[in-house]
Amino acid sequence: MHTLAWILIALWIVPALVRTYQVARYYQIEEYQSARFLRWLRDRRTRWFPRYIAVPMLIGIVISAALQLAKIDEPALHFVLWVIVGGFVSRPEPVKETKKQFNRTPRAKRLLVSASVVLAFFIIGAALFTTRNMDADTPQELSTVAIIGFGGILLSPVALVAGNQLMYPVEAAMRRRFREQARRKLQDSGATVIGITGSFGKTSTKHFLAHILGGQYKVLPTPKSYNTLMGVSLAINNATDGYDFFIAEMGAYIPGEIAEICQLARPQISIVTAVGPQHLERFKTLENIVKAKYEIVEGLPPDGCAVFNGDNAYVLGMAERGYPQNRIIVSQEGLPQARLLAENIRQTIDGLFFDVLDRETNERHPFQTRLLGLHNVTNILCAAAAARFIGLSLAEIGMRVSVLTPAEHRLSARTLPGGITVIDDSYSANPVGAISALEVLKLYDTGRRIVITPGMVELGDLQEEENYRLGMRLPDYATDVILVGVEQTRPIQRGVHETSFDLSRLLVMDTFEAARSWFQTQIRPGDTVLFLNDLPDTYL
Amino acid sequence: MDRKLNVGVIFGSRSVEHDVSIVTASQVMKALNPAKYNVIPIYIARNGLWYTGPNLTQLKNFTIDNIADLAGTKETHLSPNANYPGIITPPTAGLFGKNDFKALDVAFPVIHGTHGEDGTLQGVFEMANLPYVGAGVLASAIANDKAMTKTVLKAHGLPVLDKYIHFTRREWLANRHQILEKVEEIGFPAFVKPLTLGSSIGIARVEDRDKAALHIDIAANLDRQVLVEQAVVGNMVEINCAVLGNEEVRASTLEQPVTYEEYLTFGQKYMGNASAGMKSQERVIPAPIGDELTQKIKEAGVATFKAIRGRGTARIDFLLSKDTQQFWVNEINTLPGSLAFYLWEPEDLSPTAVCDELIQLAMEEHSEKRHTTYDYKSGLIELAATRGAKGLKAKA
Repeated sequence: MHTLAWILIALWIVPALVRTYQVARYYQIEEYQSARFLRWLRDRRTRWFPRYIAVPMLIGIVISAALQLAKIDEPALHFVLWVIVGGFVSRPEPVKETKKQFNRTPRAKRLLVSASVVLAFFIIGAALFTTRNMDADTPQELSTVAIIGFGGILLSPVALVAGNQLMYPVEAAMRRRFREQARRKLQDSGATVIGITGSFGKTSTKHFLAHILGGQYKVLPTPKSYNTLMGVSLAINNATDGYDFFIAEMGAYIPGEIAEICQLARPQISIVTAVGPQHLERFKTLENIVKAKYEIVEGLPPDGCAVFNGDNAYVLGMAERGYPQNRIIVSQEGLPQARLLAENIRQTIDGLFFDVLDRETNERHPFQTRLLGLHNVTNILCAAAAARFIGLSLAEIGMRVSVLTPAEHRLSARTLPGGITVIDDSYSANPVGAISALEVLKLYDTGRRIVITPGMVELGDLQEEENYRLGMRLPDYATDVILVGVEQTRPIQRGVHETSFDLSRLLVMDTFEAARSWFQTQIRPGDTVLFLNDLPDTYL
Repeated sequence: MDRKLNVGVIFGSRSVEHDVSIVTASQVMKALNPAKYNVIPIYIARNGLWYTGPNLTQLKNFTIDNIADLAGTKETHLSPNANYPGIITPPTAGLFGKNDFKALDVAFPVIHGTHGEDGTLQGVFEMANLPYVGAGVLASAIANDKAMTKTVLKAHGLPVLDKYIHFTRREWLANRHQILEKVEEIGFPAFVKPLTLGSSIGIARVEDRDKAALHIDIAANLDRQVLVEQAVVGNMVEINCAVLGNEEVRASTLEQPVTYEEYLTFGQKYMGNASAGMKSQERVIPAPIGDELTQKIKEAGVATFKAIRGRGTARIDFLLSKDTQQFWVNEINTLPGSLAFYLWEPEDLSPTAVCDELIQLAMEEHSEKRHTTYDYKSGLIELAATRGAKGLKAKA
């Protein structure tokens, strides 16, 4: 009887399942895209071979081998050894900063079940196969089973991928149904659809446009930064009230994605805010990004309207392709082709002040807002252009703009009771937004101006260069620089070193926790702190 | 008193002063004598949903993200049915759950600004035949509208600043330049105010045309009408006076808030110390303006309250020129912050005593309604039924 072996297999399935559950979170963060997930896994040894598994495993193998060499073959002893080791590997290292919680969605649950079944089958099958010629409950058999168990634990991320493949037809069918439901609901609503895409600025533009239109119409914007086909479907399917306008943020990681969203949502107005190196690592080239973003214009009917940020060369290029008939180019840099222009732009700690000129009607209207950041002028112009097409007057738009608030997690400044000003721009930074945030920092001169940043990410081949440039420019704006992540921020450090910046005011820290505790103990009244691009978990 | 009265304290609501209302309500619920009253908190969330539950009496519980998650808190409805004056709480779960009806003896609205201090909620109480604390529909509505307040008080010969214009949002959007010209005629400095909000949200002192345009834009987001009035220059102070009563009205000690020069921003007005609400604002009590002037302002306060047919209480805010000793009624708050408890303390009236008196006044006012006949049998139906409705001319 292989009693002990069987018990051991059963026990050793537990740590494999525990790890599957733990790792599933990262699979979810990578949006269940296996290639991205496996790349994430590969990038650091501690991800695919964590110490809490490696150490007990090596110790277990050494002791087992030593016992066998010493001819101590008492099965019970070996069994107890492996049970103890199994106990150790069942306690995964606590997850560090938990910024993005594992979300127990129905899909995640289905995936966990299928991955667990795959894993259990693998462990049991492999154990049966390798031990088929072994004597019952010998030390050899027990250690073989244990090593298979280790294999199972190590392979649990792969089991997730396999489980995902297995569930693919089921998921695909469920998604199709969900999307079809959304398509029908949107069509039945009779709402006008506005699509917004861009490498950055789309969430803010959406938020502003929803606010501007919200004065007169019922508006359904996609919540937060939902911008995938499923996110857009979710927003439609979750809507309980009727709405006159649906504003859909459309993001893309691969060409074709926006075209798919357009097929579902059928926008009548499209806005392209910018093309930049965001997510370049997933797109490879900027041309691919342009192609992907242009799908939102191609998705328009001939009588639709497209809004382009003319200050971005790539976006201007899209406008010059000439589709559709109604094209509104906006600019805060006096672009001659632009219809809607922002002029006489001033920024103070009270907000932004500028005139908006509509070249088509030759109207000029003063705008003011409490928002900070020059990039927001472009976001406001983009939103205003869509509102103009819908039929709002500049005066109506200006009135709504006067009480705009920043979108969630987007650039905002507040002075705490202790006299410390905190500028929060903690969401996925881009080169334009970073400089814009630094310009805001520069408005404050009551004390030190401190930047806390881990640098910019997801910029692909340009990442190093852009971060290096950021480093070179930091001394123009900040009196103190705190970089988070020693390796990660090397290009920024190099950039700062190129300048005459007082290096005693450049601090490099390991973790956000360290930076935060520095902030809590060293900050003085009058100081201003800019938190630039707080990193999501996957990059820690 | 034979039995404890069920007092429904209604607060929150769809108003920019939502948060202040929660602070005032917590003060009122603390002040209500537990030997005499069962306090039933009724909270109207920002989105207009009504909730009740024992934990809604505690200010600290309102830091929760979603109030529906607070233990024991359930959605509820106020019935407008005159035979069921009270709240109906539907079951939240279970096959055999029943609607829970809680009869109210008196409603105690503690809402500032829109949807509560403006007569709308008072209208619901009237429909429900439910006694309620404070001003009625008309007085609430007049006091809530700054231009209407001026019109009514002027007709009663009471002093108001009358160099002002008011206009709708539509007019502003269509005729921006003409309106700004009128604003310039009024002259600077001027005050821009949303026409109907009670707090200082959206109120700004403007020195020039550009700033006026900016703040009219902001105010036009907060209210469909905007008022611009000339700011009186010189040595100005604000004097506040609370009143108490229905037909026999008395005035409180006067206060002088000390921050008039910079005009109260919302933050200054309410955030000095959130838990203490209006009480923590810097103020001089009694206002150091001499007996004669004090007496005159008190009389004007009582007359103002009567002019708008106020009931229960109100706080009347005056502007006083220290140079000329002239004063004007600036605004009337029928549900003032902290219910102006701090103005009654020098009169030896504790918050508990003020609440007692307000409830007493509410009961008296309600019993007045009982003297009014609402039911009149006309015989019309019988007549119509016998002759056929066709032959009758409706005399509505």
